[in-house]
Amino acid sequence: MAKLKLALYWAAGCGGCDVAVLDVNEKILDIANLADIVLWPIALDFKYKDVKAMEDKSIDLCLLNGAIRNSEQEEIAKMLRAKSKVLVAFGSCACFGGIPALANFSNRSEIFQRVYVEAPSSDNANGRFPQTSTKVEEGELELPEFYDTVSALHQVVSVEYFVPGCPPPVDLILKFVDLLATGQLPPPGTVLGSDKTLCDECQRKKGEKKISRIYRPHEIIPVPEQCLLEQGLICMGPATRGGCGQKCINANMPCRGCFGPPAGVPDQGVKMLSALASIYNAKDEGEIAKMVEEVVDPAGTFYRFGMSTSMLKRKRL
Amino acid sequence: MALLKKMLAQLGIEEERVRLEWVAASEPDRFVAVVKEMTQKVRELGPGAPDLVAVA
Repeated sequence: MAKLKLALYWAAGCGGCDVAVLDVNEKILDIANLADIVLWPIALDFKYKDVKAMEDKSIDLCLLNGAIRNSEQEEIAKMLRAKSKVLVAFGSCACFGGIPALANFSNRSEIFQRVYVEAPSSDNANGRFPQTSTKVEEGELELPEFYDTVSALHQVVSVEYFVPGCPPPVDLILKFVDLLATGQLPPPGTVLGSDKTLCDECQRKKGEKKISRIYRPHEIIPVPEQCLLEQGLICMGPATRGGCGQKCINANMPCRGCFGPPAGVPDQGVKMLSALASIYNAKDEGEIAKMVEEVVDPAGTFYRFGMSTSMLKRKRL
Repeated sequence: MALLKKMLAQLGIEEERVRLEWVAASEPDRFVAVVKEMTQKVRELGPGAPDLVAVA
C-alpha cells in the first residue's frame, strides 16, 4: 500500500496540540510507517509553495489545530482544505475556538490598544499599530489581517472530523490513527469522544447536589472521592462531552470543559449555567445575589473553550 | 436569571432584553400587559449591536 500523505498545521493555538502528537512516543514510528509528512511547521521545514503546488485532494489526512483569527490562517486553512481528502479539526481551538476565542469578548481595536499602548511593557509613544501593508524603500511589506472575531475551523472551511481536547489525549489520537489505518473511519461530521457527558463517566461518589457556596479551585482542597460540584467547585462535567480519560478529575481538579458540549447540546455555557443554578441552595434574593457574586466570571468560565461555537459567538459591541 | 443576566451583560446583551415572568392561566390581562410591556421595551432599545461575526 502506498504511504498516506499527512499534513499537520497550527493556526491560533499554543503548540500544545503539536506536542500532543509527539506524546504518542514510540507510536510515532507507526505513524511514520503509515504516512509521509508533507507539512508540519512546528517540526519540519516544508514551504507553503510546495504544498500549493500539490494537486487537489492529494493529502490523505490533515490535522489542523488552532482557531482562525487572522487572514493567513484562513488562507492556509482554505488551501489545506482543497489539498486534503480528510480534514480534521484537531484540539479544542480548531473545534470550538478554544482559549484564543476568549478574545471574542473584545475586538481588534481593543486588543491592539491593550497590547500596543496600555501594556506596561509597550513603549509606543507614536501610537503605531501593525498594518497589513507598509511601504518601505525596498518595496511593500505585508502582514496578515487581524480579525475582530476568532472562529472555529468548521466556520471557515468544511471539516470531516473533530478531535477535541486541550490538547487531545494520546489515546484518542491513537484511536483516530487506528481507525484511519484500518479504513474504519466513522461518518464525516463525527466528534471523536464519548456520546455521554463527562459526569456520566465520572467515578466519583455522587449524592444529592445542593450547594450553598461556590469555591474557586485555589480556595479549597477537595475530597478526592466525592463529586467536585457537590463540594462547591464549578466542574463543567454536566455540560461537557466525555471520552477525555478524566485526567483533570483524577488530579482532583474540576473539569474546565475542553471537550465541548455533549451530543445534542447546542450551547455549552447555557447548559452549565442552568445546571449550576439548579443545584445552588438559594432561598431568597440575598442568597441569589451571593451566588452571582461567587461566580466571578460566568461567561469566561462557562465558555472557556467554546466562545466561537456558542450561540452568540462573541460579545456584542 | 440573575446569573444569566450577569453573563449576558458580559456578552454585551442589555439586561432589559431578557425577562422571566410567571403568569397563571387565569390571568389573561396580565399576560397581555407583560407582552405589551416587553415588546414596547425592545422597540425602545432598538436593534442589538451589529454582528461582528463575519470574517473578511
